[in-house]
Amino acid sequence: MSSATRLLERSPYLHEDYSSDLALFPYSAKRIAAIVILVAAALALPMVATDFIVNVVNFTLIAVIGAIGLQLLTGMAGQLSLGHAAFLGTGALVSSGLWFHFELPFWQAVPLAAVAGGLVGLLAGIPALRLRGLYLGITTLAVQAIVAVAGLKYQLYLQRRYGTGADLNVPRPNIGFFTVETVRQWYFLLAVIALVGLGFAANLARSRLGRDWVALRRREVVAESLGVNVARQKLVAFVLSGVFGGIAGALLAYYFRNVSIEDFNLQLSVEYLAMIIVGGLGSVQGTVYGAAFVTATPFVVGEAVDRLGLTKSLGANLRGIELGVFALAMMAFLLFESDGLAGVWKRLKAYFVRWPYRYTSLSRGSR
Amino acid sequence: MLALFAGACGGSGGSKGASSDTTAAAGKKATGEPIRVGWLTDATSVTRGTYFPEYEGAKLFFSNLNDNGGIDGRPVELLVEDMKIDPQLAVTAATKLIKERNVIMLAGGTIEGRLPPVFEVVRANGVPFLTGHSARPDMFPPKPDPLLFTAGNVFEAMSDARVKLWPKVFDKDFPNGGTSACYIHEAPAAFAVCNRWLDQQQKATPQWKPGTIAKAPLQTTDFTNYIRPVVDSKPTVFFDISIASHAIGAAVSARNLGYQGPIAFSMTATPETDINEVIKQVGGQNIYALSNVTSIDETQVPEVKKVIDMAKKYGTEIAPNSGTLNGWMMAMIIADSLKRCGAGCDRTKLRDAVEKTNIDTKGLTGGNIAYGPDDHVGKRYWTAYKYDTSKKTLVRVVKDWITFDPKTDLLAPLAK
Amino acid sequence: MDLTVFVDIAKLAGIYLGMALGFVIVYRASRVLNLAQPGLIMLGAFATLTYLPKYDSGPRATPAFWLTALALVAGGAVVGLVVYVALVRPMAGESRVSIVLMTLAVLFLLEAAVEVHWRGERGFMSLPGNQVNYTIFGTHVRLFDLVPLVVGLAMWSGVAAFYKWSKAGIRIRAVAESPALAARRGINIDRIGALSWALAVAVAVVSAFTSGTQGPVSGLLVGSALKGFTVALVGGLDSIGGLLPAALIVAASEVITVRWVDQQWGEAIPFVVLLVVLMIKPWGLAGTVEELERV
Repeated sequence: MSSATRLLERSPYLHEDYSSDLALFPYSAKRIAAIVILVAAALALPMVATDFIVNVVNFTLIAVIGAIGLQLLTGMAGQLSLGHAAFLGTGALVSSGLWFHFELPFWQAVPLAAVAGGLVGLLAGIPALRLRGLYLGITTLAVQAIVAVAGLKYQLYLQRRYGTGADLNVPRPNIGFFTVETVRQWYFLLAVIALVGLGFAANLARSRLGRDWVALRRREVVAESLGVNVARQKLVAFVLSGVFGGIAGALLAYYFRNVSIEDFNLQLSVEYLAMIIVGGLGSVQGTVYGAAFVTATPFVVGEAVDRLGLTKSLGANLRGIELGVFALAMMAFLLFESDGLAGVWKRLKAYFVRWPYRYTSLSRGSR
Repeated sequence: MLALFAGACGGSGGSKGASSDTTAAAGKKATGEPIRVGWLTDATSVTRGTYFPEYEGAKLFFSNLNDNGGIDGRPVELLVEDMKIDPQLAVTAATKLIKERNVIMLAGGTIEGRLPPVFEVVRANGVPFLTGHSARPDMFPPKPDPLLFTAGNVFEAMSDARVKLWPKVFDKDFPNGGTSACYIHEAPAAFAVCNRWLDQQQKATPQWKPGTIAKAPLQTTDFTNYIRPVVDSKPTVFFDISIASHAIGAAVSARNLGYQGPIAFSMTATPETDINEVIKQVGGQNIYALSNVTSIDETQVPEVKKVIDMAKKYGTEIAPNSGTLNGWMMAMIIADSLKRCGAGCDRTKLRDAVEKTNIDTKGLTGGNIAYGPDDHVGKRYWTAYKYDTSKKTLVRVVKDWITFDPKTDLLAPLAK
Repeated sequence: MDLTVFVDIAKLAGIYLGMALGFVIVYRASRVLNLAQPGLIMLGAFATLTYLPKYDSGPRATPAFWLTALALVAGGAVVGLVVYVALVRPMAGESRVSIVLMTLAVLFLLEAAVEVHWRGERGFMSLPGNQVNYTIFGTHVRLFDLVPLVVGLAMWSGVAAFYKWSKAGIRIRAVAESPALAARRGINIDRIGALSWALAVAVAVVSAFTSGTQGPVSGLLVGSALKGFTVALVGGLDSIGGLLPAALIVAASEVITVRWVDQQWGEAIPFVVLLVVLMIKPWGLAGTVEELERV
């Protein structure tokens, strides 16, 4: 066997020194090949896909960006949040408000929306210093209710102050040198932001902060005795969650060109929670799978009904069928693969890497 | 002015072709290449009661038209997508109809907050869009968006029209005026619906004073807390406008809390089917409905009778109501525009044709619906009904229709 | 004397009591937050809307009405059993988060089913007694203002008594304390889980009835039923006793805010009150202090 083929078939599990163990992207020829294919596919997608599909992919990318925030907070640091929609709502209101009052363009408004999201995150995090688990969930619910009412009051104020019909509409996004006009241009913009966000999250997981969070999630008391500044790291998790949520909210505002605060409700928060759990708690790539699963499944089902020529018989109840199939798929995952989609992926990968040997789950044992 | 005039000419010619042709070509099924029209509606969520009948009305109209020759022998294929009140669905449903189904125009839509995402798709593809019950300022004079038309209203226009209508409905019973309370679910639009209206009402008719304004959050199913202040303030009249489940919940709450005075609904938002739900619960005394569309209960109007007959013939999920009539009227506009657009019609030509609309609505509202280059709304006509407990139908309390011209009658400008 | 504020608080508290009870019953048996509960209440409400007998002369308390109502509650218990056996039991041994997610999937499935079957329908339940009014101390009171609290209290005390005195109830408490130990003592954990789910869904159907006394049935019911979850948290998720004060506090803060402070803040203020309560008592008013499992 030549050394070249040996290199190609080297198991990704084999770490020969610490630098390879720490590497953000462990080197392997297969992996690089996979990345090249993925990048090529990502570049080709808008050329071949219909507008409908590009739209669905764009929704997914926005969801990925928002879900990263929740993944950091709930998946990594173990702080339950039932109020993620509050951060998205804040981002949406701030970015559209900045346009309404100051005509601040998209590329300036989004960072400010992120800051605003972070601030709300900080406030939402304060009760976490005392509360835990489900009881923490209710404080995040409270933050959500407060943001919703404050947003509504703000929208009513606009009407009173600037005349009826004063609405939080925004123009097409301007990123300094370029205005995003089509769904395909949106796709590239969103893909870049999502990639940066994912890279950030993956890197964070390896950092001191990430490790503190893991300790925090496993046992708070132990973490503290190990010298983790529990209060500070919790707050950092909340702030970062707010930052990502704020960015996703601003993107939603610009994507739909309009903001109604009623959309940022508990249902949305629960959907985000479903994304990270379905994808796999604590897994950065799981965030992508989960966001894609929750966002795209209904559309994929609708598309399948359409392609199979069932629109005539099922069309009237299409939305219900989409939701129903989504729920059933979610149940199937829970019953048969509890590590989420990231677990499915890991298992598939391990199966092929170890073939012809039999696969045994690594994750099951460690739980 | 010239453009309007030209539009009027084209319009009257067209309407003769499209909607009164049915008898001439009776029984001849349209068989040519179908003309595809896209329709967005809420078929399954909380605003279904308002928007789905519109779709059914249009569906009835085109079924009948296709069985009687279609547009110059070509049937009109109505393709519907359920967008609920979801922004993602708004984008994908509109995209699907325009890009994949290749529709020549789009119609329908749901709540006004969901329309901007649809507009974005419509503008990117140069497709004309005729909205139903809900409109946005983008369609209003003096500078409407070239692609957007409406057979409906914005809240501001409804409020301002109500200023004229209100005394006509209630001055007879309450010559000294009184207070008007107002209910709408909690939303930014609430300001236009209640505050703007009541302020302007007092300016125009000082005897009608602003009363309590109540707003319950969207997730409310028990309205007692919110309606209690309304009832306690003993308003002379209670105006109740919202999505159907709220409007009926608020009305029943008011009666249960002891309010016996007039309750006025806004029709097509709360069509006859929903008003009847209230009547079943708390009786039909003192129930009013303000409307810019003829009520389905006015069966003596031949066109209303025809819609009811067609509903029997082709079937509907929701019993025909004023929303169905509004949809039928929208289909009249579409068919008339397609007819005038003629052979070789495309999206651009159809847009121009819609802009020249001037159709006789045959009694489905108070007069013609006409658009022009600087007005994509046209005149609106308002009237009012009261429930007659012995006849068990709505009967007109205002004999004629008041005319509301968005070009001149808006009491304060719309913010864009 | 104007007693309406008390009437409104009592009524709302009664409704919240019923809605929160279902959460607590399931939580006690399995330490799982049952997100499907609002969906089950909605399903119950739509079933009630459709199947209760309707008479031209208005709703009447005929034997047919009582039988149908009873059948609906029993049907709820069956639905609870089915959900447990088909979906929750197979999840035994999985992390709690996975089981919570399963209840969320059940919620989505219920929403889908209601959407396909009832298609955005809305209307009032055909409940007798709808137009019965009294005057108490000069205050206009409807029979239906009193029904929710009476029904809520009856359910609440019934469940509490069941836990306290019945054999099955004691077993449920044992399981709640320590499932492993209970199982070793020969308690059939499976049967306890099934019983709890059946009870929770039966309670959901009764809650649907009480909410039907106040307003129309519509898809919005999911959102309003979620408030029961808030109440359960305030009371302490595993505490039946804490529910009543919790329901009263939430209802009172809501009614008072809506009435005298601001209608919009009425939605958010109860949460703020809860926040304060939780900062003082982190496990709710009467919840067991437990080392909560990591998320």
